[in-house]
Formats: sequence, structure tokens, C-alpha cells
Amino acid sequence: MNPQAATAVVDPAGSPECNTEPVKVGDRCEQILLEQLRAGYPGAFEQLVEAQAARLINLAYRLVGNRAEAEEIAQEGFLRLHRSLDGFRGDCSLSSYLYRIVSRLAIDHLRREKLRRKLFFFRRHEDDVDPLEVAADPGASPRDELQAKETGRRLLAALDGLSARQRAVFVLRHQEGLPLKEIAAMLNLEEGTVKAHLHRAVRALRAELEDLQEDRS
Amino acid sequence: MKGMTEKHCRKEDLLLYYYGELNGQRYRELTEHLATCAVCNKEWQRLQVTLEQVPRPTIELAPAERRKFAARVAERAQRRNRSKLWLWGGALTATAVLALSLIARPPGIVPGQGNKLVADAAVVQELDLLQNLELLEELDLLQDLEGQG
Repeated sequence: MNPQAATAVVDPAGSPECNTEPVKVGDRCEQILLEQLRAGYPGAFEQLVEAQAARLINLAYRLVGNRAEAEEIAQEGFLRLHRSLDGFRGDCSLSSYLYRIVSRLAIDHLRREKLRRKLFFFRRHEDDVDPLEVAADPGASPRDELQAKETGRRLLAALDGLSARQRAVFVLRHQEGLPLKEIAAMLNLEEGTVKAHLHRAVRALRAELEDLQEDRS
Repeated sequence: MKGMTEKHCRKEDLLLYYYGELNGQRYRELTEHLATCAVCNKEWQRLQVTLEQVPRPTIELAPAERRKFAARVAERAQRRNRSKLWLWGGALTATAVLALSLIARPPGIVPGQGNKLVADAAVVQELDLLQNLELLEELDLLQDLEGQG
């Protein structure tokens, strides 16, 4: 499940920081693509975006819970990579680098959204695609489906209640399957802090679920 | 984690156990403990149930959608590059114009002084006009007096 084989050492100009582990960039195609990008080869950037789009949009979607916003974040991630190509040392894979940028952009976005909602009682649009519809099991009975939807809705509401970092840590660990060490490097946090965030996130989710189970019984 | 058979395990450890984040020794200790402690085992089961229920929403992007997205991003990247070129071009032009105007300025004229002189002349003209008006009023007064006389 771990999408990142390599650890990251990226550009020094305010971009995500380095990891300490040895570099293992095995993807030859990606190296060629990177060289083409640097040489300004026409179509190389578009090719990279096309190859990575689904993964990054999904990551952003899991982090922010809204497709349009997720696409915007993924797009901004690609544009930042494009801008920092000169400073990109290539010590990590492009996909790791993009993963890192998108995670940080999503955290910033979540923080801004939270503040906006606090200030203006802002609600997301009702016509947004329901993430639970997207995650629904097609083989489930209507009753199971309803229960799963209700559970999912409550859990997503609980996720919304988490701080941006707690949510990011939970999504990166639980849904993206990244090791805590890698998450710590990605978000520039101590591993202990990441563990604490994960614990708080799961505690909040469990509290929500236990309430739901009480409601049902 | 010593004395785990007497003490119940911490929720934080169970969570790390779930995600496979405990090192070998601690992992083995916890596994042994869970096999013997009903309370912790129950807690462990509950944790598993909760976490397994968390949905993993996924957007399926069709190849056409991916291509469209990639084209949009590439186009925006190109636009940014172009606007950066314009910005540099504009800055260079402005600098060149400023430099030329400084070079072309005749010596002895301090910038801003000319404007001040023009402003002063306007004030003087207004004062003259006021004085003329006063003279006219006095003339009217004299003519009235003459008429009366």
C-alpha cells in the first residue's frame, strides 16, 4: 500500500525537507522523465501529470473530502513542482515529492477552511459528491448499505472535527498506508508528535462510533 | 511493557500494534498479552472493528478525465511561464525608461522644483485677480459717491 519506495531529499528553497534514509530511486522511467522535464522537452510535464493525477487527486480528496478542492490542490502541487524543477535535486522520486507537496497544501487548505467556517458559519455545497457514495460497496444489501453510510457519515463528521494535522496523519497512515516515520518526515514533525496526532484522531473516531452504536442499541 | 500480564495494555500501544508500528520485542509481548488478557483482547477487537469501518473514498478517473486534467495543468504552467516573462520584460523596460530619463535630464534642474514654480505662479495670478476685484469694488464705490455728490 505504501506508494513511496524512496525517501525524499528535495530542493532547499522552502520546499519539503530531506529525509535521512539512503536514497533508492529505482524508477528509471521517472529519471528519464525528470531529465526531459529539465530540458524543457515538450509534453514531458503533461505526461507526468497524466501519470500521477489519479493518485494525487485521490490523496487530496481523502484529505479534504471535496473533489473540486482536491483537483485544485493536486493542480497546485503539480505547478509547484514545475516551478521548482531547477532546485529539485532528484534525490527522491518525483511521486514522493508530489505526495509531500500535496499533503502540505491540503493541511493548509483544511486550516483555512476551518477558519472560514468559524468566521462565516460556512457550509460546503450540498451538491458535492458524497464521499460515502464513492466508497460504497456495490454488493451490500440496502440495510447494510444504509448502516454503512450512516457510520461513514458519522466518521467523516468526526474527521472534520479533527485538527488539520490530526486528519492528515490519520489519512496518511490509515488510508494511504504510509509508515509513521515517513509521515513525520513528510510533515516535518517528530515521530512522537505524529503518534500523538494519530492516537487523538482515532480516539475521536472511536468516540463517534461508540455514540452511534449506543444510538442503534 | 514489562508486567503486561498484570497490567492492561495502553490504547496507544494497541493502536501502534494495529498499524504494525511496534518493534519486534514489543510486538511479541503485546501478542502474548492479548492471547491471555480478556479485557485487552476485547479492547483490541473493538479497535479493529472501528478502524475497519472507516471508509476509503476513491475517485475513479477515466483516461479522458486524466488527459483533460493534465492538459489543463500543463496549460496553466505555460501561462505562468509566459506571465513571468512579461513581468521580467516589464521590469526591464521600466528600469531602462527610468535610466534614460535620468540620463537625458538637463543638468541644474532639480526634480520637483519646476512644479513648485508653476504652482507658485498660479497663486500669484490668483492674488492679482483678487486685487483687481477689490479695485473694481472701490471704483464702483467711488462712482456711487460721485453720483451722490
